[in-house]
Amino acid sequence: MASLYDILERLIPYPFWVRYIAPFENWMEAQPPFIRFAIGVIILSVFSILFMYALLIITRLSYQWKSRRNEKFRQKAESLVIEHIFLHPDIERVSPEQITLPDQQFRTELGLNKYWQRQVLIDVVMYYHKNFAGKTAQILRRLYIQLRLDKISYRKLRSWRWNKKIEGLHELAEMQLQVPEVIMLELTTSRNRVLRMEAQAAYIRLSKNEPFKFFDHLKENLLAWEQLFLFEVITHTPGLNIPSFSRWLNYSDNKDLMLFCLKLIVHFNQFNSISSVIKLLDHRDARIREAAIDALGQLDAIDAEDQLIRMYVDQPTFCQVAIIRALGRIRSGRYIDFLREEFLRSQDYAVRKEAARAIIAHGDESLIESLLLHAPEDRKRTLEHCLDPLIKY
Amino acid sequence: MPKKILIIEDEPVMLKTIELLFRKKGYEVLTATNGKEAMEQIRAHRLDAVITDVMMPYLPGTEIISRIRHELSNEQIPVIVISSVEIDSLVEEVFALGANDFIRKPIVPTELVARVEKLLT
Repeated sequence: MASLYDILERLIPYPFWVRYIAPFENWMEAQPPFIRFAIGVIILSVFSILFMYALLIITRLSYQWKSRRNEKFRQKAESLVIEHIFLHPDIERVSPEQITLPDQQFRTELGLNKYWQRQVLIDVVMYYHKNFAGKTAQILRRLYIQLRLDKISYRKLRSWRWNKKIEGLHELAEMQLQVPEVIMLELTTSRNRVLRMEAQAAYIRLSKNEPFKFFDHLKENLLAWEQLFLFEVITHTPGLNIPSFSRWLNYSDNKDLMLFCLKLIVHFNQFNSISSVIKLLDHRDARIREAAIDALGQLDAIDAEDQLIRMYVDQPTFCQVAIIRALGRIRSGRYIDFLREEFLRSQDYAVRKEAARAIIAHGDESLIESLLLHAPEDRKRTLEHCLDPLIKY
Repeated sequence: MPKKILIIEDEPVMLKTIELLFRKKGYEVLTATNGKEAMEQIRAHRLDAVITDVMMPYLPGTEIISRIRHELSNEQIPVIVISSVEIDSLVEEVFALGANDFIRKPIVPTELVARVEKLLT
């Protein structure tokens, strides 16, 4: 096997070798093996560092060059969009379908032969579509399809890189283009949390028949952030077919999903779900019981009051607070004495404060006056605190 | 004499697009990309209308409205707010400060132009 010196001897020009390398070779041969090894390591490290620096500089220069190139192309694309779509002379008079698409101008002036060109144009079209609605948005969608940019978005869905999949989903969802439900359903249970969240949002936006079908298969937990994100999508997707969310209260084992459905039931005022929510009052997880109690209060579930009172003594403090808050929201007046007793007798400050608020919510002026006159000093202060309109908490 | 409009928006692409929409309609358009620049423009020119975003560097849109209405005592200038924030309290706040109209993003370009024209007639 040829040694490193043999290889170098063949690669480096002979005069250079004789003058610089050969004396070094002779010196090296005279050294003990560990010194030779150490020098070898040093030389290798120095060359590696130089190579890495060179690579870093080349990568940065290439990145800067690409950014400048893309920016120039982006500006050209933006000017075309403004000129041919936003400033189109007929845009105010005719329907978007009657406007001749400027696809030929885009092809001629932008080229669009290379992947990066089409990607920059997709970004530009997406930006405008997201920020502008009406006819311009419809024309942009037609242009996106006409220039076959959707093919790139569909191809991204098949990529092995999760961020590319998300990009593809985003683009197709923004343009309201159909994605095979099988693909989307698979992604809604992905192990990658970000991809899963984006796929769920896309599924809600794009699925025509059952936008919440993925709830049936949801085994993973839904973090508060994910719930907020989905809530935003659900409440901002026009024409969404909203189902009765009690379905998942009855059948799902996913506690986070149950909590999320309770929030949705309240938001959409699904009063027909009250019976399913009442069933959750017996749930073994106190977190679910608390959310169910809160939901019943917000839904003004007067039928649940008796059960709330019955269960009160066996509940942890945060559920007791939730029950009192619910009674304050329902305001039937049937349990005002109970609220008064809790306000006067409870040893827990949170319970007393919530009871004070519930009493105030009932609007019973004579009771409030009597409590302000006869209640112990600390109770009175709590009541005054709750009566102050400038104090929110 | 064309009417003079100031557009305050921190996103250059949006700013350019809205600017060209109004230029096409024959308006004289001034632009600002942040609150500071906007206040300088407001002080230096006699404007017919101001279109402003809410979230901006240096001075938010709400502060700009407040300064137009109180500090500059320029109560007659119509102020149109555009924002992607959909919080009811924000809408209430901008109207309480004296804004004349509130338009949510995504904007319908023809609607924006029509609303501004209505306020200017």
